[in-house]
Amino acid sequence: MKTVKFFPILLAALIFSACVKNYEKPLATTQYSPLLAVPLINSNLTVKDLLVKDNKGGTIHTDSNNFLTLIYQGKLFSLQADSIIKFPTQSYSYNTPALTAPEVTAFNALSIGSNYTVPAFTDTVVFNTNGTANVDTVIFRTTTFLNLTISSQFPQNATVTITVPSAKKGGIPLTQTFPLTYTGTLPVTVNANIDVSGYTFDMTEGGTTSSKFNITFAVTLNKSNATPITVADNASMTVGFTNPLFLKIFGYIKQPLLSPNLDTVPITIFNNVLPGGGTFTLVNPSVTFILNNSYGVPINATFSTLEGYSPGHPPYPITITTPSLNPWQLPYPTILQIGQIITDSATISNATTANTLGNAINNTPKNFVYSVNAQANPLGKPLAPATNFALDTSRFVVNFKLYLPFWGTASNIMLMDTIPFSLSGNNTNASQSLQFKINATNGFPVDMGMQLYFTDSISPTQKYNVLDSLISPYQEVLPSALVDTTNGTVLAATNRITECILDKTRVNNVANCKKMILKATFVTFNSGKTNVKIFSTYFIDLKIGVLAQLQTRI
Amino acid sequence: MRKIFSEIVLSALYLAPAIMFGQQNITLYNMPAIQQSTYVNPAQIPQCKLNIGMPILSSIYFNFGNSGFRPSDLVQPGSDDSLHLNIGNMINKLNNNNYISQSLQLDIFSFGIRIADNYFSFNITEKEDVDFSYQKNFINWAWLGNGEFLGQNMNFNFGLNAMHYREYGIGWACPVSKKLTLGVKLKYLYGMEDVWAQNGNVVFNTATNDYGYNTSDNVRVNTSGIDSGSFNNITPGSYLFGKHNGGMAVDLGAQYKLSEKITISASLIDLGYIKWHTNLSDYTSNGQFNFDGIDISQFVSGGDSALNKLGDSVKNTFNVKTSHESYTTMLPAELYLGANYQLSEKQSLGVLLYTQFANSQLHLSPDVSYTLKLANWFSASGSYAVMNRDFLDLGLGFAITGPVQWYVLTDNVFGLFFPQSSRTINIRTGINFCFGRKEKKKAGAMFDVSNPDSTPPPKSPPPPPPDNK
Repeated sequence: MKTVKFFPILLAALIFSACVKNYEKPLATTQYSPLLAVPLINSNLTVKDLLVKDNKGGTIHTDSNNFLTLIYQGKLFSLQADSIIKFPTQSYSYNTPALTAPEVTAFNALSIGSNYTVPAFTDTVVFNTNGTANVDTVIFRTTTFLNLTISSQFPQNATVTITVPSAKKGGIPLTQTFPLTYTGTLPVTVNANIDVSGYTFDMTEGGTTSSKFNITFAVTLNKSNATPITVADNASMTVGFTNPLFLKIFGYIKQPLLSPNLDTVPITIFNNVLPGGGTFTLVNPSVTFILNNSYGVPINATFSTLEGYSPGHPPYPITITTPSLNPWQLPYPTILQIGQIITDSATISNATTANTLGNAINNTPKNFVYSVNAQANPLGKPLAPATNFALDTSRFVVNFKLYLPFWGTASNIMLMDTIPFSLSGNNTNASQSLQFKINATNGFPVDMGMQLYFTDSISPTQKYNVLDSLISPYQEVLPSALVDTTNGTVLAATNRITECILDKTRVNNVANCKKMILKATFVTFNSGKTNVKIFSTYFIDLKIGVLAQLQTRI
Repeated sequence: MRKIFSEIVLSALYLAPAIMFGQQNITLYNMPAIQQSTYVNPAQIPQCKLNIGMPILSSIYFNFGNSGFRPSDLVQPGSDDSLHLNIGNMINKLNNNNYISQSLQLDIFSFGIRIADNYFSFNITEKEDVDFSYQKNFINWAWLGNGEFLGQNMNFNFGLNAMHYREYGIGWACPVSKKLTLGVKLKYLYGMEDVWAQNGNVVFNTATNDYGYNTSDNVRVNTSGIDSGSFNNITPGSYLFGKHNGGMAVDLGAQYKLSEKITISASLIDLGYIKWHTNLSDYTSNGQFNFDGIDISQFVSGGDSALNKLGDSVKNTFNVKTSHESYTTMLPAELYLGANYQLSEKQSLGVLLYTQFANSQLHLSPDVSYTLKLANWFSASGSYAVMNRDFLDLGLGFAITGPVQWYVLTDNVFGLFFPQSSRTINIRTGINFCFGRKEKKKAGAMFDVSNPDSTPPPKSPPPPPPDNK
């Protein structure tokens, strides 16, 4: 009977233990196979986005109609005036005239404390320019000093006054007085540096000559003791300039060559042209030279070199047919415009170069090379009252601007970029397939092919070993936008969705990918046979996503 | 009439996914011999004049329910010697909206006393409830991957309400007539921790043409006593009594005797709130985020910060703002509507409709029960209920009542023995001391609303007085 009573309890306990025991087993892993959709790339690319990275030397100009022009710039500097006109260190020595016996007797008879004036004397200094200029007037720059040494053999006190009458500052001639105190030892010596910066030295002696000025010395003796002087006593003066620098110079600076060096301007856009197959034609390229000149000197300039150049190829010379540029007589400031920069410009195009400019461009040169020959005073010394002038900083600058308006044709143009991309942190074994979807809208009048290469590095010399490519077989991803062939502008953008599937085998191929190489090739509308224009409003809307079928165990 | 009927059927179908959620005390409702039955209907008057719950042990309650799936739906023994996750099967079992609920209740102290016809009770109960709602489409989306749902707006609406509080309750039950007994319990609530997701709405769309993500969220989560600062300088005293999270609640109950055999009853439990003031952190995110891929123009133009910009963009979009504002949470109120039919002196049949209001949702559980009073010291109850979308939940409970009362109740007996095959695991047990219980020659009616100790009416009218004629 008891058994009957406890039977249900025993049965329940057995069932319970059996059921629970089933769940005491270890938990096995389970297959997890999600289908993940991941957006990878979403970019709205304009010309600036596409060209900026590889065209750091170029700038893209947008005009009021949004038309784009790529501009490359260079700059040539002429020699600066203080490099051409250099004054050497120079010095001049003088002695006071000897006193006569009566003058000595009269001085010795003076009572202590009395003064005696020695007759003043004047001499002419010939300013040395090393032949670089005939100086009418010069204004010295700061740090230019008149170095003075006075040595007295008089056993008495004295004062020496030095004066340059034609050197004025604020209308006041340059003059300074130096005391010489006799202390029982001879000679009595004084060294001084007279700051002449800002002084205008008139070196024409009243318009009769150049590069000369007068200097006057006046000596006064003061009888400070009973020691008599003799006829042999005198004072000597040494005056000079050490590396004198000018701020402004007027006169005739002769006929130096001011030619700057050669300038090379990289035309980086042509780096993207596939060698051997790429073409590039522009309807209206041009070069503008902009001149800035602060020399007050007539200068004739001629372009000694002007050509496109690619290493390994002969140069593509450009011949300027404009007479006014053969030679280019550079405008210069008048005496009333001293310190100003005078600007002039000249533009050459196919019309003024007998199409040699277009020919050079169409050969897609990697560089533009130019140089200028320039000579001052080509006609010799200007007739008075005309004169040359220069500031120490005077120079002329030739600014070079190559304009490449985006109007023309191109084919086999390539853009390539490397994007870091690593799957090493992910379990690529889990990927059964990757289905890439490329959704692209093209607003350019350009057919575009695109390829994405998965690469790894297998050696220092082979950093981009291609493991696989996304689009296989290769195909055109983006057909050109519709183009109005009458003016080369775009009528409507086109859209295309391209799907590429990487199966398990190919997924395994890219498992070791370190970097992706994005390569795009372009050819303008109608296989490059119709001139098209590129505007800033054109774009490529590129969206790439991946649908990944994963399979892993959790 | 047909229209009304069809609307009722449609409403029932609509509510079906939400059937049963949160705490479940169906069997307890049918066990008036236990003083804790006043927790589900304050109009219940236990048999003993004085009931004292054994401190800590008078009522220990645990409940876990998952309306979505049973453990055996997910974990299954394989042909090999191991268990296997069958996630596909688990997803198939899910309803569109699913709920996980877990409750733990512990009576720290309780007692009740009958004075004349009135019954007064007092309890201190520690309560912890977690209610979490999730949706099938989220589990499905996470399992199959977003690639299977291209172009679809995946709306993930999560709900979370978890709170820990202490209840101080004073109850009063009083027969107001021979037929009607009313009861009320006033409760002061002391909140300790709370997490409440006011909004948990996230919408995710994966575009068909480029797999771009379009996400919007509207999330607001209020917390109290959860963030790291809550545990600075904490002492047992400040934790147990020093928080300023006060609340009030009321339980209302009624029993009405329609006839000698039929009693109807109703109760409204936990109609109240807690206002949270202490150690608050509220997290709000309301934004939209689109990610269509990396902008390679960053690379093309020589930059390398595209991924950084993506990170900034995400950070700014899902800019979770933190504030510290007081807030109020409502308790998940429960409504019991019952009717009992007295089969005999020792047996009764009952029907009960249990309804819970939580997270703006209505959760229903219909139930039928059979209660048996084998002896004056032993009563038992069995029930059948629909809970957590399980249509075979058999409840069982018994109480052995003497000076010491021990009881064990469950709303799903299978859940105790076969937890892996149940959506509900539920048990309540405890020990009370009962004094002043009259021994009767005949067991009293189990649902006599006027006098719990009353003798049931005789089956036949008393014999007429002798005729002296």
